[in-house]
Amino acid sequence: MTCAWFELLCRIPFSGLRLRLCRWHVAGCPRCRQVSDDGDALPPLLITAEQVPAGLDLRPAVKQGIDGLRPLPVSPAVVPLPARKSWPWAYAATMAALLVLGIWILTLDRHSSPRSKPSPIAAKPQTRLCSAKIGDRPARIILIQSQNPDRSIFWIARNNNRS
Amino acid sequence: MSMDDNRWIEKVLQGDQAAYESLVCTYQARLVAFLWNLLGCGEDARDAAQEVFIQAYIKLGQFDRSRSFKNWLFAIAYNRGVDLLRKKRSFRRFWQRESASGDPLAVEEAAGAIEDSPFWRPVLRKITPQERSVLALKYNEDCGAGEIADTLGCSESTVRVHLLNARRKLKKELHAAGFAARGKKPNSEEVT
Ligand SMILES: [Zn+2]
Repeated sequence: MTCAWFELLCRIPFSGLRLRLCRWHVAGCPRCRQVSDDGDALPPLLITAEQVPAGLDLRPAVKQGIDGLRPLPVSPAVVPLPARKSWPWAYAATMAALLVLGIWILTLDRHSSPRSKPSPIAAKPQTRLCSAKIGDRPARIILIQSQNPDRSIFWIARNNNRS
Repeated sequence: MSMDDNRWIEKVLQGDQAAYESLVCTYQARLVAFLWNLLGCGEDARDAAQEVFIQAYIKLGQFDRSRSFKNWLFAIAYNRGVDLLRKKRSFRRFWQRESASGDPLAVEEAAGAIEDSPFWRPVLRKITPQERSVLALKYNEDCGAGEIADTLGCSESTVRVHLLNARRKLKKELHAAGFAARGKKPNSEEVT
């Protein structure tokens, strides 16, 4: 039987967090380590090599598959990958720091958002009217700001300036 | 690392392709059993094992001989198995999507094609592929937590958690299914 702590951690609904906390616990719990090292108490559900039919022979198919191939050349320096170690304290500290940072960013964002938010008109591409004529004379164009950001109102006026 | 393995590997790397057959012969049944437990289908396990042996042959020059050949081979098998399960899942999702609007006959055929084999132990479905792999390596291959971690590429603590979780879930499922504590051994079917 595993310890009560492990049973409790197994009830955590979020699988990622559950696995991390269980891993952290098991790394430091002699009882859970002992139970996990025990080899008994498993019903014979697994397929064993003895249950694989004796007549099974993969050699012809493998031979056919590797025919004409050669193993890739020996790499000059094969560095064995180290087994991942668990650093529970470092991990917990990182998670806590990330949590604080996340909350801070959210708070900052909430405070600064009304000021930094661009106006809907500014965010939209502006419609421009470059020139207009009344009769055959160039006219003045006045852009009137509209409440509706999807609408642009232009006032075209007769140009009285005779210069 | 077994001396025999080392000897055969040396021969293969010197160009003796036939020496590889000895390695295939040594590990084929154990590898098929491992993949069978992981994939839940004997046919898939046999095909995957074949691919794993071919892949291992191609990569043999890169094998670090201070490691165990068996662990290295089983690591390739584990990665291949997980990859196949992922593909199978996305294929299933694809057909589920198709069945909402597609041709019912085609969907029926496809569903039959991916149906699990009858010898799949339903109770093993309740645990994750990682947990099944850990169980297979512990109980069939008699590996310790360190060796399993080396094969699956994770930490020893992760292996222990998978092991404890798998046992908890299986116990619960077997209890719910009315099996006794030691369980009733289901029949296995043959791979041809
Ligand atoms: Zn514990």
